[in-house]
Amino acid sequence: MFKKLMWPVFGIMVCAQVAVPAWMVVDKELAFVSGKQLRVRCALRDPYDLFRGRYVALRFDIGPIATSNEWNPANAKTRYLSYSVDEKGFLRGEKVLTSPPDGDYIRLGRNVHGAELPCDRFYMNEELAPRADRFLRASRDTVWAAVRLRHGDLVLEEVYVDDVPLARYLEEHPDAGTDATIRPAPPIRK
Amino acid sequence: MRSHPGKAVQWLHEELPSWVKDGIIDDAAAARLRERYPEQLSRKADMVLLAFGILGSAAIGAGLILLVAHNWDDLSRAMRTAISFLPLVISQGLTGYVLARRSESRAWRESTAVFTTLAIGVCIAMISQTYQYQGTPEGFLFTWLLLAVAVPYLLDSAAATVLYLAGLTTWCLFGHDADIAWFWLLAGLIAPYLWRGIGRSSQTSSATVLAYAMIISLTITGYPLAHRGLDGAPIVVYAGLMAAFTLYGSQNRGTGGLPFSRIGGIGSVCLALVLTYEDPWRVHHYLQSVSGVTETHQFAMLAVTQAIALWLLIQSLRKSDMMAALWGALAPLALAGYLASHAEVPTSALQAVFNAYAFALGIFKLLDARRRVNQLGANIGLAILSLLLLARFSDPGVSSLTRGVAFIAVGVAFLIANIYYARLVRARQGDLPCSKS
Repeated sequence: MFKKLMWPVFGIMVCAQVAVPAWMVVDKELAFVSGKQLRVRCALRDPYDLFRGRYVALRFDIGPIATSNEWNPANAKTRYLSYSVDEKGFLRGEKVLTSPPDGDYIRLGRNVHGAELPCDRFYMNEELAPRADRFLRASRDTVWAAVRLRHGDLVLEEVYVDDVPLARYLEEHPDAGTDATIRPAPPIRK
Repeated sequence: MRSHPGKAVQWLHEELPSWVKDGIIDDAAAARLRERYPEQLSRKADMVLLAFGILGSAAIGAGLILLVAHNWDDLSRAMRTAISFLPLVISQGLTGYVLARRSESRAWRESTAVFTTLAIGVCIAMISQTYQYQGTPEGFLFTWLLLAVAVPYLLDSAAATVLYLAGLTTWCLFGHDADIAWFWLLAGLIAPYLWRGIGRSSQTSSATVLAYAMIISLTITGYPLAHRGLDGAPIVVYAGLMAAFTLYGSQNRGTGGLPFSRIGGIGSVCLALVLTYEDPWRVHHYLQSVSGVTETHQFAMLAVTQAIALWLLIQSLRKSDMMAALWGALAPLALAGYLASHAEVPTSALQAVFNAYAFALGIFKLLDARRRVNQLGANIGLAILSLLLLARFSDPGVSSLTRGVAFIAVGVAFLIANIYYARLVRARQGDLPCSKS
């Protein structure tokens, strides 16, 4: 009986193995093409993912966030963040809600520590990532992330320093991030 | 063609010429026996080919993964996407070729299966990196496992199954409370293959490898699955698990039970020795009402492992296999001790019980080894007693002189026992070429 099922099972396996990564590509490409572009101020750390390489962990500065009264951290599943854009064009979080509001919103994860945006990793060249971390501790104010928002899902597009992509900035400034003296990162405003 | 223990076949080939010479069998009969039980040399060659095939595939897969980790900044997104799919497409083509033309070659099947399994992970990882996909390592592993589960079935591959179990174990170690149900789903998907692979040809190398992989995976995942909920319950779950392994192994000696006996025996001894200390009993035992997913799941694991161990224990008692029954007694003892600690029974009493249990294990193992004329069994019995002695003498309150004397006594006991059992084995062996059981 297994011999008869072998080729159908093989066909299903091939389709599934191609369909999943293909959908991953399509989903992100749709966001890049049709998603709303936003800018977010950020600060960085430098950890490592065993499977996907070196990345820089992002922390975002989106201002103090008001929490909905009915939100219970113990029971929260998906939460939603309403936002606005300030006079400089940067995203400012407004309120964390338990249901999607009218208008644009950002879908958050299940964590219980305030409003942490779901795109917290930026994969970059493993030789540049440590320099990125040191550099950004010293000049955090000029760093921001370009994200795309589509149907509540936030997609990270690029991280910029003075409107220059981070990787290119580090390549054009060989001295950036080579200072051995690392100042402690200032706390993010809540 | 059925598989037979390598050593027995090797012995047969060594004996055949003398049988022909002594007129026990004729040349034609010897040829038929050689044909029925093929020479080890060709099997060894097959195994070497298989091993190199698997290693080669694993090396290629690992190299591809390292390329991922390097981060390909120089290529465009479209190019990186296309290259990401390349290993997967190649592996799928190879799989189709093997299914159509090379399905009888184990080397082809195993190496293709390993390459395919790794290629799936590489593809997802490279796409995730290219498109800055967020998410957790356990989410990545979950997707990988789901996509790779069909590979062992299609290619009849033990190596791919071992990779799957390794991934499942790693995923479980990363996992959180809500993932318990998903763990059992993923485990259930590979269970039929394990059942067939371990059961149908229990003495082949692949069956042995699968058995070890399954047992080790269950042993490692037992704690993350069982520790959420009632304090101290993992002790009882592990006792049931190790007892079940040992009992199953002893009841299936010669038909694939060896991995179960070994791991179960080691685990049982370690657990019994751990329970001779005070710390494991100094937990906050409480029997709250069973509620919530995690507590219900933990209770279910506890009940299932204990029930299986108890059923196997009853089977051993019916067969009057008292040595196996003694190993299996760990499960009900641990359960009784857990309940007793809740009932405020002093921990010193519980420690004394397990000291007595470990001592009995060692002594009865020695006696059983003497009855079976088993030198290895004698060493195991001595090792258990020695470990118990060393555990008691590791107390900082004991002087160095006393510890030194104890160590010397242990060493002398080992030497005397080995000399005695070696003489016993030689006296009972006669002309048989193999004596170990």
